Amino acid sequence: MQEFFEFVVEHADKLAEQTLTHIGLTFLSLCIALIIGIPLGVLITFRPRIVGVVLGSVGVLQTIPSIALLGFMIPLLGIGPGPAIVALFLYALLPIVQNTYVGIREVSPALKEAARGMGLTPWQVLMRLEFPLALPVIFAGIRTATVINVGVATLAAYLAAGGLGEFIFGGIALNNTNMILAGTIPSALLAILLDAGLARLQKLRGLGRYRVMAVFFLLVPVLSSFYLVPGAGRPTLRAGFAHEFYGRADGYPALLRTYNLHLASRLIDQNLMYEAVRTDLVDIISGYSTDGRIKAFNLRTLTDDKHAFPPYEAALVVRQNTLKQHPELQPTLDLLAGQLSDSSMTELNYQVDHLHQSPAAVARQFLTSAGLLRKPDGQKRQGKIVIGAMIFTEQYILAEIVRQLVENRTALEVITKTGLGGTKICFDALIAGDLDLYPEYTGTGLLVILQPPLVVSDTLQVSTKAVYQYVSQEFDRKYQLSWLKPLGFNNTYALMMREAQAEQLGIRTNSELKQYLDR
Amino acid sequence: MIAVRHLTKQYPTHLAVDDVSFEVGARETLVLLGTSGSGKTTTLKMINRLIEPTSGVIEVNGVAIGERKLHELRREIGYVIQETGLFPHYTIGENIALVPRLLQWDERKIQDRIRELMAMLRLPETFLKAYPSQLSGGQRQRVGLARALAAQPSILLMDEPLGALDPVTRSAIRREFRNLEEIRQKTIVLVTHDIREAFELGDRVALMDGGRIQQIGTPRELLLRPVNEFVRKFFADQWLSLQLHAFSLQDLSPYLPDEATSPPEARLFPAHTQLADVMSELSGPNSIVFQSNHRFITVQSATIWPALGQLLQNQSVS
Repeated sequence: MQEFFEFVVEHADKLAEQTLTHIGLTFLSLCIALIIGIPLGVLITFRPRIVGVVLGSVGVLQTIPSIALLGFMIPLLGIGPGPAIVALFLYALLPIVQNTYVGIREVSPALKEAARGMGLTPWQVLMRLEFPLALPVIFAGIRTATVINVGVATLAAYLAAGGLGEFIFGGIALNNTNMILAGTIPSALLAILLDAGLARLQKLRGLGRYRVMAVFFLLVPVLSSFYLVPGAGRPTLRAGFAHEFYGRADGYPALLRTYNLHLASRLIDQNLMYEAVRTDLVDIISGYSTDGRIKAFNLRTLTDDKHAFPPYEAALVVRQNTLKQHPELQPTLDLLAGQLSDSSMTELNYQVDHLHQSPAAVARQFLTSAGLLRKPDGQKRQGKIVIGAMIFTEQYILAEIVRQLVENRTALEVITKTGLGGTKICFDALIAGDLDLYPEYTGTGLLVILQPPLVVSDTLQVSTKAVYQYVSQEFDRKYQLSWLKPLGFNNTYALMMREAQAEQLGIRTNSELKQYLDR
Repeated sequence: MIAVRHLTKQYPTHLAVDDVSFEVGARETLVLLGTSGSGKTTTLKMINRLIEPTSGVIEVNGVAIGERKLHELRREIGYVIQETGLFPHYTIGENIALVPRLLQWDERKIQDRIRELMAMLRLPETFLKAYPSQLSGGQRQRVGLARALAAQPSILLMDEPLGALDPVTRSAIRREFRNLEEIRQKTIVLVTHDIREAFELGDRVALMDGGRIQQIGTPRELLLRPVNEFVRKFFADQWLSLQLHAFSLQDLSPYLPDEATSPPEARLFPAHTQLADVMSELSGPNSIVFQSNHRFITVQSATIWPALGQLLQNQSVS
């Protein structure tokens, strides 16, 4: 609990910004849903023939799992606030259209007839009788839509649209409970507050009700504009950071510490981060120096001239028990030592990310060209090992390379568990014996797992070799895990910008970025 | 005022109204009487075009209603329905002001008119700000009537206007309606299934069955000279008590002794009073007096029945 409050206090600015964005997203989509949904609900009371089609279609939208609906938005509309708002709007549509229709239809037919009999035109019947009497039912729909939207809006962070989901996704990626709670509790509170508030509104009687409801309708656009508040008065460069980068000691905090570089950042799924910078949604991202998309999207990697980010040499981390059980394993895996340079890893990533080849095919090509594969001898499979991989392209390729190599050269059966959330998850699985090995990076092992005092890590960080030696010693001593020889490349964090923009602003290094922002 | 000719309404499943014709004169009240499904309400709703006829013509003030603008036509015709159809979210005042506001009357004129109607219908002014749900059934019914009368239409259409009330309240309000001068000035078409209501309120009654008018005429004609077996049977149950609605004191005058001067302390009634309305005054030894041809005639419960018996005998002979 203590830690949670510390986290909240420490990230109060970011949290306030996310809450405002969250409210903005919720009400902006609600606003559009009201503008379209209420007239649509009214329209179908006049056209009974299309009721089935309209309610059916908006109903089907509601049945799509929210994360899938947001997922569909990426190929259709890309990422950013636009697609997120469209998805939220589609979600809010059903309760509003349906309740408008039901509310108006349920006004007593005798009353409607009396109104028509007295000479009210259809429009007057609607505005003076049907709509006011349907208002409580319509409001029940708005209430449902609002509460749904507060919940679904957490997923908007997945489309780089911001909101409280940033901390939830970030917390999941980092296995950081406090971070998850920091996103969850405010969004739950927001839902409860809005639900209770609208419920009171709904129960108001008499004339006051219509006044308050009118105020609500005026308030919706105002609350919508909250979305713009966090953007106002910002420096000219917007940053989009992966959750891990934002939360890890060697990521954004290291950047702050070394360069004192404050960036207005949005937390983005690391797979969408490159897309976000390419489409101008953000200007700076926290990339990985071997990512294939650097090449594909023509990005400039800023030089880390003050060594804020520690070296991240890739190597396989293996349980010592496994190595003892299968003595043939270590020599096989050691064949990979030094085989992958920065540029060759980037190339492999590029082939998968951009040319859309399968990691298996890319791994096979690599092993073949490196001459590491032997003719299969068709021996029977005996024993099995489990390989883990985190949820990004490079890890999928590495896991494939290891699987194909081991299955080619030993009798072991290899099972791959890919798409694991992050280092912490892989490491815990390895300790628990659910995994036998996974590709890890020296810097991560140092700062995420070992977490030595700042003095130690600062002295180590300057030298790639020193870090490797330190982590392999400590892992051996503390956890009975072995770091095999480095694969050869160094996949460290790096800030990246669009080449054209970086060129125009004359930014090549992190220090120059800092100078630019301070100017 | 209203002329209906060869009116027919054919629904996909049944014939609701079958070749109905009638006329309603100025300041006349015509009651459409019948059981449910007889086509009386359908006929009424075709007059203000809530239902469009399959064939036939309706003229109001000599103009075919099909040629009028729908909402203009309806604003000229007062409409009262069962359960009153008051807007639950409008105050009593706003409900009554509804049609005058649609007609864009001057606001002061509207307020004057509301107060006039409230006084006329004996509704306290404190009700103006109340909502319909706060009133009793009888009070709501009076507000419903006030709303229909508000814009001073010359025609009133009433669909089971007292249907939702208990029998005692019903007859009380019926009596009130009958005695209101403003209502007597209206041309009224009223739909009911209540025979007593029809006889009490109707100048003429059209008895409907199976979408056709079986007989149209004064209550007396329907009662004493039914054109077919259906009409005779329809009134058979209440035949005796309906006599009391069909005849007035005046009708009895030939069969009762008269005097030149009024007996002392006698209660004087108008000669056109329906017998039904004096019956309650004649319990026990009480008597009442009415004036006919400048002579005074005394009626007692002991003398009224023999006189009525003679009257009926003569009616059936003639």
